[in-house]
Amino acid sequence: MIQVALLTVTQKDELVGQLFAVDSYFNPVQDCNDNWIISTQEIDGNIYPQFDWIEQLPIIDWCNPPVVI
Amino acid sequence: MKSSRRKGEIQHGFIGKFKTYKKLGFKEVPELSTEEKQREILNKMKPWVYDASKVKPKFSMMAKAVQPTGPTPTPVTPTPTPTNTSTPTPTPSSTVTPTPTQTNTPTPTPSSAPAFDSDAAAYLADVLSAGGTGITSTVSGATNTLFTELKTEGLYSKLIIFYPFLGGVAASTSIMGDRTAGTTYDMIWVGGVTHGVSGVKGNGTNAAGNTQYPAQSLPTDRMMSVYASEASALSGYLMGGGQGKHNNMILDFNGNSTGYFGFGSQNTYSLTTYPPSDEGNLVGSITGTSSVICYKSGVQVINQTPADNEQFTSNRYLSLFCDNRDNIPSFQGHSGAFSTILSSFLAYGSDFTQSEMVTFSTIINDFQTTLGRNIY
Repeated sequence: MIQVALLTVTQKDELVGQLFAVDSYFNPVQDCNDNWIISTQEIDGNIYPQFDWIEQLPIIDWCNPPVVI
Repeated sequence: MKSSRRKGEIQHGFIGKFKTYKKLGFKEVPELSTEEKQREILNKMKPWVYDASKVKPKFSMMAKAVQPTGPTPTPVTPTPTPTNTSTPTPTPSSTVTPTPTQTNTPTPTPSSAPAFDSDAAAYLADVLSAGGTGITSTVSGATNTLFTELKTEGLYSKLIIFYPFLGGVAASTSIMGDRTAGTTYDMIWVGGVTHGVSGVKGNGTNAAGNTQYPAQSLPTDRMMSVYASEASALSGYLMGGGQGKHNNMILDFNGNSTGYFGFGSQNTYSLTTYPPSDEGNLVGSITGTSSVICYKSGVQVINQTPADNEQFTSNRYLSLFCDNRDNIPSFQGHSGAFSTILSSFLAYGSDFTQSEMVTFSTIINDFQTTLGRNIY
């Protein structure tokens, strides 16, 4: 099971459009329950101290929304 | 000006060694300003002129140049820069005060090796400039072969954007292969993309690459290609932009092994041979409304008449690992349809013939094989 980090809407807004590493941007998305999440790769790869708080985010299982062609 | 310890002769004191002054024809050092002395010396020296026809860069020279030597790799100079053995990167400029004991005369190594492809060199130079690593002589050679063969087969000019994914870091894997386009179509990475020597890997939740190339700008007759491995049970879009029916690719849709190449009105295509995964050297091409043909690892898996050939009217950037559903300037893959594949090559371009698709598949797989990241 893929694990992801749960965000509040405020936290999501803070991360949108921000770099977590060189040439890599945060990309909050919603899961099947409309929760905003980021990946553990973003947490592990973050090099910017202003976003160190993401290390404290609760970790949940990823729930894949239905695929729509 | 210094006096000699022997007989009061002038030895050193301004530029270079006095011995060299003698060789250059000075009997004594004139009473000139430093600038005038520099000018006198330069006038006496035979000027060095770069003559490309006399320089035959040997492949090993390029390979040496691209070897990463530490945390800050030295970028490869795209055009052959004449060097001598003791000075790796001389600057052929007469404005720099020369060191008389060493002349900047190029001494090219005689070699029958063909010249390094300039586009491949430009790409590798930018990979290294971006901090890319692992660019060994093998990788350089494979990249040169890739570019050369694509050109020889007439395929290079058909590629609109392509990504060899070298260097192992975000800044280097983002680099679009054709540097004549500048940085316009360098990939923007979002979410948890993993970068390595094998390429770039999605995470199935939010990792994607934005090519910055508008789907609407693709020609009506077009191709798309991705070299994919390490698929998982998640059935995400491998690449795309346009929602459903336009310029995207998804295999194993909803886990039912339905091949989907987004070249028309939500057409799905039954693959004639279909392993239950999203893996393969995948190349799809549509020509008008006459044919949709797709190859998987060199084997034809689709050859059908498309229901239509629809272009997208709302412009969206083409992507990797997802189907981009947001119009420019936004970018967001359809949540729930991100893939987990490891991609070692990505391309969008003009349509290919069947023969060209086979040739292209071979060239790409040969490239991956030399790099040790082939899947068949």
